[in-house]
Amino acid sequence: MSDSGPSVVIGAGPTAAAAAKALLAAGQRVLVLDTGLSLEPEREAARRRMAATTPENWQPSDISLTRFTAAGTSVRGYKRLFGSDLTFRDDGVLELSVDPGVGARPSYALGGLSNVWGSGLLRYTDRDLGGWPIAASELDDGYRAVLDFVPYAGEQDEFAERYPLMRAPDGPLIRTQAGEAVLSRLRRHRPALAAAGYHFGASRLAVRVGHPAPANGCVYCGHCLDGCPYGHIYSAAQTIEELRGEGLIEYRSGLHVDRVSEADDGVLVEATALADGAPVSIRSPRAFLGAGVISTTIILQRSGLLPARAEIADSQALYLPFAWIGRTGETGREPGHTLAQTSIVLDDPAVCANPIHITLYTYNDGLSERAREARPRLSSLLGPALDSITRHLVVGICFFHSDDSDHVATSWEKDSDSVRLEPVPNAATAATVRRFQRALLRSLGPIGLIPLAPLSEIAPPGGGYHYGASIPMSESPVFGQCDTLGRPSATRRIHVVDGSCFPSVPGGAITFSAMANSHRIATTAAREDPR
Amino acid sequence: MIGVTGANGYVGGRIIAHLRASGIDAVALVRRPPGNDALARRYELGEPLERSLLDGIETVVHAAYDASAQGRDVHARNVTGSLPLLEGLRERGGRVLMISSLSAFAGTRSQYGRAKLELERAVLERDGIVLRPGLVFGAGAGGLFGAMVRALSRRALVPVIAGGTQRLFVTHDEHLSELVAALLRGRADAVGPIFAAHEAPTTLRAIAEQIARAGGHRLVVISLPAALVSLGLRSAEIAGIPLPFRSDSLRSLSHPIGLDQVSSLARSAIAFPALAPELWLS
Repeated sequence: MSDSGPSVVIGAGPTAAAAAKALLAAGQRVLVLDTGLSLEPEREAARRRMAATTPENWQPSDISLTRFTAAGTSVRGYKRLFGSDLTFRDDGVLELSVDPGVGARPSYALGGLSNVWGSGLLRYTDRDLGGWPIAASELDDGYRAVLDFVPYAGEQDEFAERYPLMRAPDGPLIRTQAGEAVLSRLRRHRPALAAAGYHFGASRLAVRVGHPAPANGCVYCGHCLDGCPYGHIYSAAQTIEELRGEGLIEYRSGLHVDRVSEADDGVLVEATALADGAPVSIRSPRAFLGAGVISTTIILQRSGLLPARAEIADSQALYLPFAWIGRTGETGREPGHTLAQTSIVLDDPAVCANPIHITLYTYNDGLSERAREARPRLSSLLGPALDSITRHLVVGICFFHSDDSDHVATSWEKDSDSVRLEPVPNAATAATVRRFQRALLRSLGPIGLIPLAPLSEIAPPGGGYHYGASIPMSESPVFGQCDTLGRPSATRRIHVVDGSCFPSVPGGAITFSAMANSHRIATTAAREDPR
Repeated sequence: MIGVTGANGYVGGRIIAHLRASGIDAVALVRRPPGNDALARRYELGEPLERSLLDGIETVVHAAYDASAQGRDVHARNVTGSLPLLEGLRERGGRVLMISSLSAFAGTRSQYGRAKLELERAVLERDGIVLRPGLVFGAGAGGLFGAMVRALSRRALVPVIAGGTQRLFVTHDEHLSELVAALLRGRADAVGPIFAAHEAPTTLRAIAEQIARAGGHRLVVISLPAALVSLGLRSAEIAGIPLPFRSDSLRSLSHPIGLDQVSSLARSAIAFPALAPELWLS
């Protein structure tokens, strides 16, 4: 096996893109292996037509084709991209059964889960990394490197004291009037909230904010949650396409990677071709597994590098509506972005041993539609008043540390070569959620942001798509763990670079840190065998 | 030479002072020029242009706006009333750099915004440049910001409308003047109005809080419903009582420019700073 061959990156999601960038920066050649499903041609055509003009000129037929239906947005549904199920579509290679109590799904799309991510760019701190063999500062270079190729909307505010910005943001993504009203009221009550363990600030998002819009940045069309027709919300697909377009990487799609194995002189990657089911073998001096946590975990199990039953730690999501007693502007009608407007972190050991992250969505044009769908009779009774009510709703998506969440078990059955995902309940979850909601009511209720606990819904494990830690990093890894460079015990040339190698999953944005960690691993690994 | 209308006002005054300080010859085009000042000429909105007014002037910074006009007069004074100047300049191959406002936008509900928007069109049709500042602030400011500073120096109790959380962009006067000077030097071709404010908006309430804090006291806010304030202002205007704040300004504040329009505006090379005490405390 030749040492001069390209390093293989498995997957084309955010961590794969970060690894590819790091390897290229180190002067290595890169081969990306991807299943690479893409958008249906009619939806891609509609997206292109929309991107070619300004929102007021969009055709109604294109809008309805690319907007997701009410059903697509429920807790148990899957987020859609331009109306498509692309992100979670099965590639038909692996026999995978998912228990109804599990929300996690693998993604076989080019760009992976970053096709539908919340685009949050809040970094981890040492407070988040209890029990990790690396310090948060070891991710610093990775964060900066990621922010070199990811757009960065944000503001210099008080949040930066706890969560350094890492670089100056490109500019602000301006909040809706309701979003501004909520954040300014939080700021007015900062001393009392800080004493109760609250930290908050403007969202930091991977969104392009150049001018003039829409050519160079966000035009506030409010289409964000359906996918940005202009591509101003970052997706790893953009990085992969760009590197491929510039001839910097070799990209092979249509492959479902089954197994990886290591010999003294390199790695053997075994895959199945989607087109004809034929086996494909690729040899490489080094392999970087960034296929997304579920796919990576299954590859490791089928490769004998993880036990046949493994556990994926979830950072569980709680969908919590708040009643907002304050200015709402023309929410749902005014131009605005529909991503998270404000981030809040509650760090109070009396409530939870780990910080809990809340992202507030104050602009949601679909709330009334969803209410009509869910409660048709009540909605028609309310008539036009329904809009006034939903305008006063702020939706919080709250993420708990994986220690305080249910998990997902992946069981690989060797004989049938099939995989099953099942929930692993955590007895402490419900009590933590109750304490958390009571704490919010005590602290935020009096300032007009009242948590509506009876309407809250906890996502099934995996349903918030913040999961990992199936092969946790350790200083001295044993079977089922990996070293600080993501290498499963007893391997030297296979690196797990996605969230699978996290020792735990802190609450809050996961993708940014997973990318930074992937960049760190690939950069360090490339130094080991300079070419 | 550069002519500056509205040079006796706050923004026009700042601009002309800056131009002169940076070595650009500038003549004030004002209603009542001092008799012995060679660098001031008589100009009034709505009046025919005196033949000699534009002698030696290649560009006019048009910052004049007659806020005393009401009803139909708003358009007659400020839009139609500016056309002789625009035409006079075009005939001579000159150009206008108009100080417009972020209150001017498609769909605005204020007369001020509509008048500025129509004038913008007239300026752009004649190959002029249009700047859209937000609420202008600076040391010794006039306008709404100056009124707020003066009011908050006396008492820390301010009435705000509907919580005072309406979105508002701010523009530092010195930076605006710098931008004007840069554009006059560069003769840049603008394709549309240029956004001339700090990128991140603030609110009237946040501004009031900052002013109060800088003055060392805690702000006490009384929030009044917009409808009530509008009624009060309208009554005062009908009764002929002069107030520093007009019902039309309330309409501008309550219905600010949409983010889609803000993001679509052209940007200049100058980055405008956020409101900070050192920028208004002299």
